[in-house]
Amino acid sequence: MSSLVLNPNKKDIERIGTFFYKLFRLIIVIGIAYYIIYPILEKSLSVFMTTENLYDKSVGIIPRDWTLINLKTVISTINFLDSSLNTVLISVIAAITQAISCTLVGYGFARYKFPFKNILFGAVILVLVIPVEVIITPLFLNYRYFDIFGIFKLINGEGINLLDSIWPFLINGITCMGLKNGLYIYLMRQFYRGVPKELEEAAKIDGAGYARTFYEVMFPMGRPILFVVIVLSFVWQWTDSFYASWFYSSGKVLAVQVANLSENLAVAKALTGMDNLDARMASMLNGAGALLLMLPLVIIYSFTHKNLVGGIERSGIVG
Amino acid sequence: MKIKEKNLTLAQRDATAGLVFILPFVLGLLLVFLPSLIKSISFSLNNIVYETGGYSLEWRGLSYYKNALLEHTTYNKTLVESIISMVVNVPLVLIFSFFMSTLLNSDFKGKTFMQIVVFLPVITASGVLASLNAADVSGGIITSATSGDNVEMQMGSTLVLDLLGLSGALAQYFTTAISKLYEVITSSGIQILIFLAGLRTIPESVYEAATMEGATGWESFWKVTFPMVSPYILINVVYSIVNSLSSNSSPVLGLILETARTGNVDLSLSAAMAFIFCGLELVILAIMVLIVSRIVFYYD
Repeated sequence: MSSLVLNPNKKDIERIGTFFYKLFRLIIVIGIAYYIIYPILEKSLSVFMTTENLYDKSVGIIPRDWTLINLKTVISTINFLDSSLNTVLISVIAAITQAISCTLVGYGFARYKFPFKNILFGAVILVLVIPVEVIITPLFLNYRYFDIFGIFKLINGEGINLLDSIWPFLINGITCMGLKNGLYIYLMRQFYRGVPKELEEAAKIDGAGYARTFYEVMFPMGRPILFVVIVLSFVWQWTDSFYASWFYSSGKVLAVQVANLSENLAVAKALTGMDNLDARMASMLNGAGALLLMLPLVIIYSFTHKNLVGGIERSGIVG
Repeated sequence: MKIKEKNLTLAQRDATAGLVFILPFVLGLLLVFLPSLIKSISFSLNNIVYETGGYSLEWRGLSYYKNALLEHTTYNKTLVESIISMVVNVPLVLIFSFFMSTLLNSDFKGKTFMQIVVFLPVITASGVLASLNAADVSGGIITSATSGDNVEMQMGSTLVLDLLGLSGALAQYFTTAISKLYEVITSSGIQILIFLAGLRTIPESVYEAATMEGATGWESFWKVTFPMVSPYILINVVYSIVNSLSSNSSPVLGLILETARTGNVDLSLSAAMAFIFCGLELVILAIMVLIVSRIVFYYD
């Protein structure tokens, strides 16, 4: 009996351990949440401050006087409505085409043996690794004088100009040459490699051909990861100013507008004779632009995060 | 009875199917990527002479490459800077994201909140937003609150390290890790996502079987979780390296773009610099993939 009292048993030690673990976890969770949320909050709230509040040291992160004037200035400078429509169109097209193509390609690499497979997958990594900045000038020229094996050249002498339209994004998406597509292909490949072969064999026994097997069995299985790919490609295309500035030089894309915000603002202010933009003001207006850019994404995210982070199901084999 | 072998064998049919599936990518390579790549390479080997209506090329061989490595004042320095920064950041990001994803995979109060928060930086710090953050030197909103150059931060961490009795290189590494904390947290979003995806493909039944065999938490982590998640570790290693080296804040990339667009516009030199950089990146990746692949376990 006394031995039970004097010697702490395993269960007690475990309980103490769990308590400290939970405490540790709580601290970490609070710390990380603070680190991430605080800057965003501060920046976003500063957008609603009047200029006086901005320079008033006694005002913390919550504005004393709320105003919408900063937002209004930025909205008019960046042609918010036009840019948003364009951006939505581009991002949706990019997301859908990339998701479908990359799934097809990832599946092919995961499940089938064919000659040059390893070299071709090396090419996938190559496409991922080589930064687009390296090939952007020839790529731009490619779309400016677009030509398939010289056919168009024969017709009108120099190929067709595909810029300032959705075509570059469409073609990039269908051919897995878009932003970070190598990653999606890699992701899909790793995923499909983890799916047991029995599923396909079952489909085959039931008489499905290649296309049917993919369409009715494998594609639905990959839905969670597919969802991740769609959301990621949408988000990245939405915030991308590089491709957009080259391919859509008329400039009416949200990300590009936000990137050029400081210049555009300076020009506008010079024209209207307002005071110079100093660093703090510029930072705040940039923050407004960033807020406008981010807002749709955050809204979409709040509706979809359950599926995104929490919806990956188990493998399809039961029993 | 003679049977004419006109049909393809099963293996051949499989191979054709595979090729059809990856057709989009092959088209992309042929129509989009390779032509542009080859053109860029030719730019790096030639001097571009602009004439009316176009340009012509003068062969220069490897002279631009030599220029970049041997004569250019800042190229070598920025190259090394980028690589060092990558070597420091990537392990931190990997460790942090692995830790966070295991955390997020278990159940606790506020888990959904945490999931939302952790993924937020992916939205708020990508693309153009990242460069806006980086260029934000004023008011120092983000930078001052969270940067490690903060005096209080440094004093605090020195104190903690003294208490723990660490010294030398290890202490140095820890101080660097802490000062980069913000950077690491905000760039781990994708990796956490990928790890989570991997963690969730492990069926509950495997863990149950392990517990029945008498495995402790620690053991089941190393014998079950770790191998099952290893393919995703490989992806994350590759992605983290690529991301770190080609992110908006990568010094080398900045230099490459600068040479291509501003001041002394020299497309050829820029292309040469870019290819040296990529070559190096590929070598690093190849080495890392070879090393990490040894611990990767595929279910098939």
